Amino acid sequence: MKGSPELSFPKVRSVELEGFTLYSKMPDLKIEISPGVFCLAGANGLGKSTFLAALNFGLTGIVPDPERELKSHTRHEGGYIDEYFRYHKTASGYTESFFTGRIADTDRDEASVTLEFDIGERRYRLTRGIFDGPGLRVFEVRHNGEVEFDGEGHSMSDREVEYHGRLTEAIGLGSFEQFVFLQHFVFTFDEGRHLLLWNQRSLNHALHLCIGSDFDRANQADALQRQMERAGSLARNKQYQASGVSNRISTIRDAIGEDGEEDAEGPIPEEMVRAHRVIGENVQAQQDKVAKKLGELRDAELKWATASSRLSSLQAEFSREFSRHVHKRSRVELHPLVAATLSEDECAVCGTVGVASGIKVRINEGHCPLCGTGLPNPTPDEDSLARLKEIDGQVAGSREALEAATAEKERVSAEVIAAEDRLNALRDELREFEEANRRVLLEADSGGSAKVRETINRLEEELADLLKQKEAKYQERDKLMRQLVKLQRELEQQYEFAEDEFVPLFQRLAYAFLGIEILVRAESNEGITSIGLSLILEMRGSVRREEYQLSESQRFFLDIALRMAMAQYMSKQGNEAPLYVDTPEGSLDIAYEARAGSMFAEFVELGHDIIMTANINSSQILRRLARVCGRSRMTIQKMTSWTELSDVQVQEERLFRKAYDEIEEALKEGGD
Amino acid sequence: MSNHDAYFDALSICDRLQPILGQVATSEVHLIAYLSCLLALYRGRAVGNWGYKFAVTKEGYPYSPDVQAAVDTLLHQGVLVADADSFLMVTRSGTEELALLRSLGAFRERDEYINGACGSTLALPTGTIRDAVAHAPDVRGALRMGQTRLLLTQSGQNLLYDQFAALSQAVGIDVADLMVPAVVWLIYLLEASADGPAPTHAPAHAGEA
Repeated sequence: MKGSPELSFPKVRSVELEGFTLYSKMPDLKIEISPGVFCLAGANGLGKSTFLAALNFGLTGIVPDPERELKSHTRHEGGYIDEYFRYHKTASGYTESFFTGRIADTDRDEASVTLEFDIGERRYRLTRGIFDGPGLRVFEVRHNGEVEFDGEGHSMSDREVEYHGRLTEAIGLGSFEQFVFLQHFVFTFDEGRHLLLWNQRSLNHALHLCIGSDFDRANQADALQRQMERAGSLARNKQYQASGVSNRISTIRDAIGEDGEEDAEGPIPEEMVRAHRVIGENVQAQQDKVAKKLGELRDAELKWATASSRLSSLQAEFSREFSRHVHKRSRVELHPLVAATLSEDECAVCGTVGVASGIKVRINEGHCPLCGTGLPNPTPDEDSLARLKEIDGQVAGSREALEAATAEKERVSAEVIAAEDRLNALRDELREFEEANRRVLLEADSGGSAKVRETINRLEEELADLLKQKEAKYQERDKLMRQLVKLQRELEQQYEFAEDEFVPLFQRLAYAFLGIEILVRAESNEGITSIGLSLILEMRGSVRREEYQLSESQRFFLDIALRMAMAQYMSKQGNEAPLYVDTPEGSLDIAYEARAGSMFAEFVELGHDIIMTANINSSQILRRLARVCGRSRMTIQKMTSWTELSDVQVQEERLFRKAYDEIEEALKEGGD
Repeated sequence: MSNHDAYFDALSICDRLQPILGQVATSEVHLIAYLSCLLALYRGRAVGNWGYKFAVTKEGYPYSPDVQAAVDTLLHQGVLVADADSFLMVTRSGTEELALLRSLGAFRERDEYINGACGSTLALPTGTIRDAVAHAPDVRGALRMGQTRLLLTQSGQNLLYDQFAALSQAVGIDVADLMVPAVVWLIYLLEASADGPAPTHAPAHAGEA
């Protein structure tokens, strides 16, 4: 029996991003990460989660999908962990779509993430192009400062393979895929908020890696689990197909009135078959007619729409021309002197009052109100008039065309309705005929009653075969299940052995958060649908088996505590696994803010790093963490200079500064 | 842009009323235009195609802003003139303009409705016509409630259809002279309202001569 697997995990020391257009003020940036807590702090929408995603992408080549889960995507043999890596690396497309939009098209070729991390005495440096696909642009390893591998002369994909091998070996795991699983499902608590405690499949894989200590066994259990579930699924498929065949046999038997007894055979009445064919042909002909009428209706509707549009356009043109006609009329009365005289009823030349009506009469009689000379005809110019008449004629023609098109559309619509009614009547007739003469028609269709029985026999053979296949798949599943149960028992024994060390770690961290003792016990499930270990929590004497029995804050932070305990248990001293946490304060009840800070601080005191993001706000979590860790073990990186702030954020920058100053103050006081 | 339908209607109404009444008030142009629109509705034409809307407003009833704008334009153009008492008259150029417009097919049908509506003034004084219109279903509702309201909306039309259905039973729809159904309907409204006076929350027409 082994204890902790004593794994050595990468401790990230710098992150370099190039071409991250999202950070409009600093698309190329390099961040040094000191041991302890590294907190990237900023307001909503600045790209905090993107930073964590880029870091994970650098380490694993994949951005964790918020909807991720361990499940079958392909028919590939192997376990769920292999499947997760293979699918998300090549087929899901999530990684590329995640960065598209965050990185401008012009930066796609250059965009990259470069990481430097330590494992033991080795420093690793890698550069991964965001849109390169699998492969590394740079991969080098230094041992105590001396170059051990520089990747020169290797292709990008060779460097990737080299990276997988060297990293897996340095950590001490059985495969790179296992590292990806741990990184995404255990060490990263992101906006997807996946909970290990209540996801038995993920929890079991994590427990196998954490306390099972034999990674081949872990892979074996993983593969067995997937094969067993596939065998069960195939058996259910066969049962489904068998039910279909069985139903088909029953339908045929019902149709020919067979209840196990032999029916007397007789000749098939030709008249009936002919009548059936005639009705069927009528239905087909009527279907064709309906289709033709629908085509005519579409044509008529198009004609109607065209005529309506033409009329509308002509009416608008008429209106415009009419307006022009009205405004082109002679405007003697608009002459300033005449207008003033008419308006004031006082002659603008001599000042005589009461002259307006006389002037209007002279104008209307076609004479100049001043000299009495005859005015040109005040009617509008001939061109305008001719145009108005022309449009008027077109409007009349177009209106007639519209009326004709409307009449045609209505006629064809009525014909469509009549044709559809007729079709429905014919279908009813066909259905009634077939109902009444099912047996004869079926025999005729199959070539006689002997043929029908042949069909039944064939279907019965098919049914028997399907049931046999189903049985075989269930047997296969049960065999796999027995093997899995054996591995499961081994895991239970490992857990019992590890319990003394692992559970107190979990309890201590959980206590730091909850302030109450929790009891943790493993419970084995050996049902057909779920084989595995569950961790059962008991608080204040009551079992909290279901998610809903805890508040959201309690669920999230107990899950983080479990991850921390796993990280602590499986890590070798000096190479402790870090945790990557995205904006944890968002899910906290106010009562728990400070306590969450204490829990994080306790994890850091055990030698782990936390790389986290947070909103700068009045939450106590950062202040408590800062007070305990102090400057020596905590760094705050402000994001406000990375990108443009929104108007609201600019207006409220004073509040950000105040919150930030409080955290700075706590950092200054802390760490004693 | 001038509303050409309102422009034609105002000019044609003035032209037809002038020989009958001697002098034409602006409010009478609105009233006859409304009555013309109702005759189109009676003939089964869609109100939406009339070209402009009517309302009961603080300026009077029935009132159409387009008709008012058309009258103002016609006065401005010298096609109409107003005398010292604000009565409207068609000028020589107005007569020529009207002859031109009547030669266009666009106004032929509506001139028929206008002719019918103007004909009703031969049988009934315009004051009586206005009293009758005050009892038209949608006008009556607006006046009773003292509200400004658009006329001939869908619900207003529904109320009218019932009356017009009865009217068409009595005189027929395709009657050659639309004056007949117009007068029969107006008399019907007056008789139906005999039990009570016409509602008078709104002025008959602001600025009426």
